[in-house]
Amino acid sequence: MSLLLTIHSAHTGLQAAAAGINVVGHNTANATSEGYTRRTMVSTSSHPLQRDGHWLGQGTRTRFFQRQSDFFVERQIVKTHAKQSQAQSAFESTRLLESRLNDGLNNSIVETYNRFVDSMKHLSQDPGDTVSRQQLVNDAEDFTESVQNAGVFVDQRQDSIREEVEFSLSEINAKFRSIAEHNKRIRRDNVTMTNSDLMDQRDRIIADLSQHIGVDVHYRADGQATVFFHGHPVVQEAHARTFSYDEDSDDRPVINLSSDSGFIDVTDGLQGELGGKMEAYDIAQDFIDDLSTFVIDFTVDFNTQHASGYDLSGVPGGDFFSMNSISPVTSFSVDSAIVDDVTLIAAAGASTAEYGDRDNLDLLIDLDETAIFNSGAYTPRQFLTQIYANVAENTADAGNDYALYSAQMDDMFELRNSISGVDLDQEAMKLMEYQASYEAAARVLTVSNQLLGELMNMV
Amino acid sequence: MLIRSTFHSRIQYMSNTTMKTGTDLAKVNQQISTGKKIVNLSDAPWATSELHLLRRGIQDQQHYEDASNRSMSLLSTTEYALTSAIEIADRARMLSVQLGTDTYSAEERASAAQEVLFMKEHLLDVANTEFHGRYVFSGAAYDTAAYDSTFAYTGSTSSSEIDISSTRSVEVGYVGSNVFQGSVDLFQTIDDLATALAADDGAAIRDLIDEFDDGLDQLDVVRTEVGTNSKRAIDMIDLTQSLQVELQGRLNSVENVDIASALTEFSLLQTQYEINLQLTTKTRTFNLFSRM
Repeated sequence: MSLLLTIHSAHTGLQAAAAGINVVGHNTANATSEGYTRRTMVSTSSHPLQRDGHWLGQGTRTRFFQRQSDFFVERQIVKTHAKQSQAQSAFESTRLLESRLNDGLNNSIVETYNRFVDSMKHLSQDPGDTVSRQQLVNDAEDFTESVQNAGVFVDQRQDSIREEVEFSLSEINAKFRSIAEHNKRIRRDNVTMTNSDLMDQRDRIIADLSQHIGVDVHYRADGQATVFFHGHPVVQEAHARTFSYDEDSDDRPVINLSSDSGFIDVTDGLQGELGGKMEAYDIAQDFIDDLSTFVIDFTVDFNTQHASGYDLSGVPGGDFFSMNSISPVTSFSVDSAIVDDVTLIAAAGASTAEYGDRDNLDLLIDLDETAIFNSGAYTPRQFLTQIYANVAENTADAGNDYALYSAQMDDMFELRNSISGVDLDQEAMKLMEYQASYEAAARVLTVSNQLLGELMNMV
Repeated sequence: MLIRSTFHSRIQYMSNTTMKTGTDLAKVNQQISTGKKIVNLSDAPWATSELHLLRRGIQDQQHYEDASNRSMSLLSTTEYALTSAIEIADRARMLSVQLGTDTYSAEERASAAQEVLFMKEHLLDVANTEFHGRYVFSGAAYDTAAYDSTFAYTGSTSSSEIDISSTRSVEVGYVGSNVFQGSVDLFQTIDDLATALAADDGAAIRDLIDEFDDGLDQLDVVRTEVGTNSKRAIDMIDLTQSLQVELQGRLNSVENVDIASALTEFSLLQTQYEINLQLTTKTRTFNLFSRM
């Protein structure tokens, strides 16, 4: 047996132990890094030499650094993360709308509407009284203002969602390009630590992307990842497609995906944070559509009834409320003529307009109990309650979804940690193992070197 | 059951549990500080309709209580006025009974005629009784006096009512021409009495006794009606008050938190939170590196 071969074997042992310590160092340094996949070093004995009919060992060699991950779990995390982000974003946005509705507070739409009806009832006790008429106009203005405020808030929120969606597309396109770039650099059978780090970085970008828009990912045997959005491959090998922003005829954001034939509308496939914002956008739109229906139908019915009565001078009533059909909610107001002159309120049922004639006022009050919405299904108050309940249900649904997906994410993160996470105890054990291995190899080297010295002295 | 529990997953688990307990704690804290278990409608979307209905119900009852009180004030004034009118008519009847006998001289009857004319003026004042600018015998035209100085009715032929519930209203503005000039025109009857007294016409004076009897009945019927309406208004005040208490109780049970159980829950969560923090601190030191 050659002493030189022994020294070589000890040297490979030193190298392997040093590489192992390096892996432990890398793992412990990244123990809390988000998305980090722990590494393990795989080493095998070197091919032995055959000499004089004997097999002589040549030490060890490091074969590769293994990334401990499970593709199925990683894909599930990417998918669930998208759903969790979508629910969170939708919840936060609809909660904002719900808070703005101020339910139970004096300036909520329902409360101001109730006060308006109360004022009409109060006026019916003394229909000619100008103080009560002024109070009715004040309460009607509070009511229209609360409707307007809700409309302005929703407009502003939708504007802000449009801006957020538009601005985020450049970031998303950059992520597409970055994933493609990472794919390019990750080569098949490249088992260096650097390559594993590239995969970690790429997967981190995919996770971010999924959190933004919701994607699916397929991992190839060569380490590259194909990213799908709404069934369309958006990143394949080193190629990335792009998103572009547009708006439909109702100003709703539209996301187009570039394709060979032009663009594909993929807006409905949005998940993640942007999907949540689009969900909130649609909930806000439903809210504003319902409120518009309320304003239009209520204004028409109320004004028609008001026109059937007579004001304090015995003149037929004009419009009580006004609004325009383009933006009924934000333009909803008490007619300026009524605001300027409260005697124009047409409470009387006859042109004699006696001070106490409340016949038309009674019919106006009756509108509160008349099912004039949804083909006779709801009274005005019930319809407003329904609008509130819809927002509350959507908020609660998003909150429940968020709780559900968060629980799923906790479970999956735990599972991922179990597979890919760094355990400090395990790393400490390995450190001790590599330390002992290093010390042993160093000892073999020292002894072999001493023996070689003895031999040299004999010469 | 995980095959491999890492240090990081243990810390993460503790962190998640602590955060969840912290969120629950904040929620209970919010409930205690606001006194409400439904802080936002999304806490219980199914209760939206009931909450709105109960709040509206309370507002309605407050409105009807206010309307009943207002009706009571008007009806009390009306009743007081009618009592005065009955006293005047009764005095006129008594005069017609007394002075209808042949024991009174022409001078005495002429002197009584003056008193009767004063009574007519007094009855006019009573017919024009107002409460806060509201003439109670002008019907729907209660912004103007019921009668002018010529004893002509200037009010409305329609009565005025106030709703004291969603299904019931009470008359508060009576049609003066029906009250004072119904089947018996009290002004005319008093006028006739004064004329008969001035003319020293005993038979004519006696003939008016029945007229006054009918006139008194006429006023009494209205006063009874006013009394009935007052009773309705009083009953409605009691009813609306008890309904408000009932509705408020139901609203509280839907909307408000049970403070005792909320405080108990808060205490439990607080203990849990402290345990979690302790565990997290302890867990942080449990690794082999710290012992190497």
